[in-house]
Amino acid sequence: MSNQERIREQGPGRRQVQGESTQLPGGQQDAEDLASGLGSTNAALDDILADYVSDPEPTAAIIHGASPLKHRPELRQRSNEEFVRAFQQRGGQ
Amino acid sequence: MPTVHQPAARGGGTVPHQPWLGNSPVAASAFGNGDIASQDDMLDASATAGTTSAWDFMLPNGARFYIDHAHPEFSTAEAATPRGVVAADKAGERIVEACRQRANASGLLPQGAAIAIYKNNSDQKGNSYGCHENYLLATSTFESLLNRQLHRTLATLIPFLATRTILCGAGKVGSENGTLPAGFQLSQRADFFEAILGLQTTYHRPLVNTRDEPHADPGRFRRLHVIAGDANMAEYSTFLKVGTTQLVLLMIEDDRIPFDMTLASPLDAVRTISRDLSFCQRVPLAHENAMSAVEIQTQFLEAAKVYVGGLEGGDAYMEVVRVWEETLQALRGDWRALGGRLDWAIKRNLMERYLQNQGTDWETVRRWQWPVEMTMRLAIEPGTADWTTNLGTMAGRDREDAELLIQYAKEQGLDWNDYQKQRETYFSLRKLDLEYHDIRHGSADSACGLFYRLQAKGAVDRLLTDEEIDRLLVAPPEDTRAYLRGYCIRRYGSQLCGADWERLTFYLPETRQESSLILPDPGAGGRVQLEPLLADDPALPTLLERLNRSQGARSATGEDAI
Repeated sequence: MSNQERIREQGPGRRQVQGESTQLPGGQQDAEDLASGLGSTNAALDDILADYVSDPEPTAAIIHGASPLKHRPELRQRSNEEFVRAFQQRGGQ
Repeated sequence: MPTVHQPAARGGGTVPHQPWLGNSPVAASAFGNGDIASQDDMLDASATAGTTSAWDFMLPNGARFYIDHAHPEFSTAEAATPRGVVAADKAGERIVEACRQRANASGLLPQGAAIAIYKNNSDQKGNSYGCHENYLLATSTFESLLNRQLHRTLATLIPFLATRTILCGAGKVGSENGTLPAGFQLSQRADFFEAILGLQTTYHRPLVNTRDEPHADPGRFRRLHVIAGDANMAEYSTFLKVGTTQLVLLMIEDDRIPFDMTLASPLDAVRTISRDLSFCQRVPLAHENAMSAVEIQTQFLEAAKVYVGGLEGGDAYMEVVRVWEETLQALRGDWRALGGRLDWAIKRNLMERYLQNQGTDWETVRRWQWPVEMTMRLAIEPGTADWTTNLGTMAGRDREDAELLIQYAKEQGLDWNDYQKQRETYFSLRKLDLEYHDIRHGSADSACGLFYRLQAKGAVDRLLTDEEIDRLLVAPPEDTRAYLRGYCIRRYGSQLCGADWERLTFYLPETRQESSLILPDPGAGGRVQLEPLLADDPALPTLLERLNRSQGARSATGEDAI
């Protein structure tokens, strides 16, 4: 099997049905703000962005950390009552 | 009228579609520090809630709040109008948030740990959980849609659900569940639908869920359990999600949809529409060439405009039609006109500001999504001195993936020298995506989720007033059976020994017996109907007697006993 065939079969989008468009209109961001007032909002957005995007690595670690549900399937199986018992054993009311 | 000790009556006819929502916010240990707001009144009221188990409460506002396996789940009370559902949903969010604050202050959590709650549909690890909408249908309509006339479902409901993402998607960075990479897509859930019709909700998810649990008199009513939507933060998104769906179901019930929009491949269409940021891409129809989501939604809108004009009590839907029309007009022009109104647009607006500052775009994000995720899985760092050496030591599946990675990068024309920058951009976007759904609503920035910070800065349009939401923290909607349920829980909570959507069971010390109040009609039991019986705030036995007498009198006059 060629690499191209393997990418098609095992690589990204393997569940996508053949023939579906993969084209995105990305890059259409227009640098000019809309006359509708978005310009005045941009300062507020920049203010918020500064707080959130300064250090994305913790998010990367969380996103790629182990999923508690995937790695502990017993959590999915527990009934409410079992969950409550487990919680109470740990000191919950 | 609700009944006491009576089996549900049978009947027929069309019914209004009271919708309600069952959101499933996910809890995860995380970073935030919530302040402890003063919401004692609400929590004290909740403390008297009717219980069905130690962690399953029917609340005085008519809602249900419980632990579903390992996460909290909140289901609003039934409301008769879309606006009522939005208010109940937002009230539920505030109740969950108040509980989070109390849990964090309880001292029960491990040292240094705190709970954060995200009202979204993906844990970004490949697990999805639903925001479940529920619509009341006549039994005959339900059976027609899900059993007898599936062609109607394919021609109407499925194309509507597949395309309403442009109205009410919550927006997402990247792709999941093995689907094609994406920079930004409109829907959180689109990647997870793998069937058209089915019973499952946690795997092989269907666009139309066939769960048949009426929570009402099954002879007259059924509940359509819609799992195809996203959980929304923006009030307008929830309003459009519930309002347009309610209208389309009414039109289906009254056979007032004069077209066939059967999609040639509904599942493909869902993913294509979710990824189409131009709103121009057409999806193939079974009987015509192809139409875009905006064009298909416009067909539904035009039918709704005609329908609402002749609908008794149609005023409640005029606002839905107006907002629906404004939204589609904006999508034919510049989507940024919706940048303060709908979740995907608010999120996209913020993120595109970030991309603009970084000098990049969604297409670049899309091309790097899979390589960044694969390098994380393989624990390799392209561009470093020894990364090719590391590749040489890999074996088995890791080696195959590494070879695919290199081939893919070559095909996409990626420069590994850009890797660190692209990785930072990608995870910054993912972080914004996740934090948007943080439900904290404090006054200080540090105690406020991203969505509510945007709202506080005036970057989000409001549909409701805070007063509308606050009222539903402790009081039920007044136009459905939730009103009687809420009244009974608040007034007779100490005598309740069981509660669910259609039944309240009390212990009566006077007779040392249990007595059940049955609520088989979701549209009955509202304030207008019950006020004469509740005006003097009666004791429980008196109320039960009055309800019995009222039912008997109505039967004697030949009216429907329920």
